[in-house]
Amino acid sequence: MSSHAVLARIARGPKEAALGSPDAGLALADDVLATAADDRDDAVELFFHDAYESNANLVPATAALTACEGGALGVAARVWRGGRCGFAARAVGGRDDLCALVGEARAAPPGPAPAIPQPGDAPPPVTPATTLSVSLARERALDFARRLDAAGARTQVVLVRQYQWWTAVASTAGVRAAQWHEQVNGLVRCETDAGAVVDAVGGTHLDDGWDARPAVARVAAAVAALGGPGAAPDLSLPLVLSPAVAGPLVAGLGWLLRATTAAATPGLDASVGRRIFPRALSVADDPAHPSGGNLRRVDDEGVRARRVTLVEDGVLRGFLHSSDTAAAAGVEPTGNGVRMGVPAPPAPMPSNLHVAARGDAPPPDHVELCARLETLTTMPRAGLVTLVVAGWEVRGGRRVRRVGPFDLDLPLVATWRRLTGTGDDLTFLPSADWCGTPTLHLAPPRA
Amino acid sequence: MQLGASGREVEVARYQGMGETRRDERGSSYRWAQIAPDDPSPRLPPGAAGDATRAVMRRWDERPAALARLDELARAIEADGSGRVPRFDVSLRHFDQRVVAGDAERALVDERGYATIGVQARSHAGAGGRPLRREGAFRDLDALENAWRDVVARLVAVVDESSRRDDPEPVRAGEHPVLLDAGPCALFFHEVCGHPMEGDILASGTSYLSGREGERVASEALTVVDDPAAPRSVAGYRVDDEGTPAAPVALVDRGVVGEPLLDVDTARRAGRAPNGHGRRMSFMYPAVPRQAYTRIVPHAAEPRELASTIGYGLLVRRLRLRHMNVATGDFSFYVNEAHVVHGGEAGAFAAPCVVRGNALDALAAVDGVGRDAASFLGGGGCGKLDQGPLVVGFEQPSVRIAALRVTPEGAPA
Repeated sequence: MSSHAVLARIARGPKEAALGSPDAGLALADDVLATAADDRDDAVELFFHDAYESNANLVPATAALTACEGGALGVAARVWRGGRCGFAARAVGGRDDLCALVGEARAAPPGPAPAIPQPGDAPPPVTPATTLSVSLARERALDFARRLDAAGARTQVVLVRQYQWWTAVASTAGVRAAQWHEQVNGLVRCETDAGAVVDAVGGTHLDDGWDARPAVARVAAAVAALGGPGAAPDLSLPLVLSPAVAGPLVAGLGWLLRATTAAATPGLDASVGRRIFPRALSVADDPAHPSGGNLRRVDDEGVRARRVTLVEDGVLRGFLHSSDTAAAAGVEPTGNGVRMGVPAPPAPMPSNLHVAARGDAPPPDHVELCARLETLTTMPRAGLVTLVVAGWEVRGGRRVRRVGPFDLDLPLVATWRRLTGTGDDLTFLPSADWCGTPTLHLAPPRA
Repeated sequence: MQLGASGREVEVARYQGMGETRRDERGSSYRWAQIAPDDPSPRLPPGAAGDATRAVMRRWDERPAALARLDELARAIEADGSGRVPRFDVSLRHFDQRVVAGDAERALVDERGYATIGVQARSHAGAGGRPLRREGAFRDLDALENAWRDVVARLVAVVDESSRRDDPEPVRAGEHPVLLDAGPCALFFHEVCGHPMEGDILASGTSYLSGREGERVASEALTVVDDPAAPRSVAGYRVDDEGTPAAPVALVDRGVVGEPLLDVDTARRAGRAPNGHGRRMSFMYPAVPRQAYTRIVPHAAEPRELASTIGYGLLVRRLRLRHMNVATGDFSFYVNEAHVVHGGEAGAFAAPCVVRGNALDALAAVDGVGRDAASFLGGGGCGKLDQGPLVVGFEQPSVRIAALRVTPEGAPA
């Protein structure tokens, strides 16, 4: 068969994915676990990740448009024995190759054993009705670029990514769960004389999860703020951060509220139940949020995903847990055990972490920050968010002059303790780890 | 694999697959597919490409042995280092890749492999208690096993130095001479010269070097080359990921803006021949112009003399990109490890600071390039679009820049 025919196999939708379906994966897992498990094993787990993607990259200045599509299946095996755990992960072929993978995990140099995930009440997978289309990826990239051009942005590149994948996990401990996933996102990088502005759009449904207009509006707002010389900010005024600017701060909060970070942060663990933030702050992680970037019914350990209240009216309520961190903390797992790729073990990760929108009005005088310039990292050191921002000085509710760009250092905990209110415009940002935030109101940096 | 004070992390990735690029009036399309490890009759391309691929495909069973060896080595290194410096971490990486690239008539094979070690420890008060890091890159695990003690010794030496120094010295905000140490600081030129000279960025008109080919931007002492097959480039290649033989490309040639880095598509648009810089993260990605090994060619200056004429300035040993505006050339870097220079002598560790400037000004301000040279392969790799991190290497002698703006970290720019 020619390579063309080989690749033609891939040009079909979820029903033609490499292994076919989560049910096929679970059936194969049952067979392999029954065959390859050893009486001396405490547990054996198989995790499947079968993905297909179709993407488009567009450079508007040269009209260079590259479409890309393909699919791959990877499997990870963990074998617990005598208080240790071996791990192996790779692309796999058929049944015998899967059995070999279990053997590789058993023979791998063992490390400290994470807690063995326990069975739960995982819901059945829901097969998506849509089929990936590289033509649609092209259309979306061209549409995004046209809209940005109309808004006055100088777009360097547009990346549109469309994914469909299923995951399945099964173990000799009784875990048996699977899920289909879909995601579309479009990333743009726009040049300004002050630097690059990056924004993105996306959602969890390939057909109706795409709306470029909010991202175009955010880029247009940033371009307008950067469109002329700006003054130094008056940091005796409150700060009002638009979602585009606030995103990294919320992503930092998401990092802080993972159980792994909490365990390494002295005093944080012991603060559960205490009001350590202002009453204006409420934070939750909702794997079923309709506007989020992830729709997760079950995590990568087979634990049912659920809404988790992390901060409620300033009171710390808990953290995001995997099975292992939950066992260490003596709590139930929260359904946030996620693998960042087949080669990585599960770790606590948010699904759709977001700050609650209260609809507070901003103060009449403030510094409005609506433009964030691209930097390599927004958290150069743990617990410190550093941004390059620009915007407007607002007096009596009216913009009076441009400010910035200027550097803004935001120590994570201290900044959240300055929160005085939140707007009504909850926005999930693919460019900030899919965190959701409304406009944030902060007390002045300089009292 | 990483082992030490921060715990143990192991990541193993093994995959094989193939992809095909087609070009038409709409642009190019790239389709890829995985090849299952145990496929008894993998559906390979016809002709030379299929034959070449069949010859390099192999079983997976040899891979677990490499992991066991890494694990044993990591434990030995961790046992050695943790007894000598605080919060010692070691990370090891073994990379083994075979690439077949070309077209229906011609397929070239490239075998690539390297092993790296990174060791990190917490410094003493003299360096502010910050992490300090040293690295090494080698052609294979055997070479790494023979040389890791030297890498650990270098880390121990700098950590010991931090115990003998007073607290870090805050830097004075202002424009000062900056001496970039040999080796890792080539990151500066990777960002300031390399990315802006990638063919797709140049073609988009969003590079400050667009339209400047042949223009003098620096003294004759400065030559910046990207050379994937340089002798010291352990992570380089002989053939790029499109089947084009690797070639050194002078980005800045004796102070004059040189050629762009090109893949097949950007070469065609530019009316030039591709020059061996079409790279991809894996078979799952299309090729794009990328750097591979940024090399600053040694010149005539004595390294000690480069420092001796600095009344007040910085000797930078490690830096990390903060931002780079490719369109204007404005940049800023975090300085991770540096010494304040007084009267030509490197003194206390510098407190955290940021160096800033504009690329054209900085290149014009290069007033000394040493005759020493050190190679470096470390850090997290290079990111571009959604392809990253991709391994890149650096080689640089000591380079002095007459004036860069330096501000303490956290101070207004």
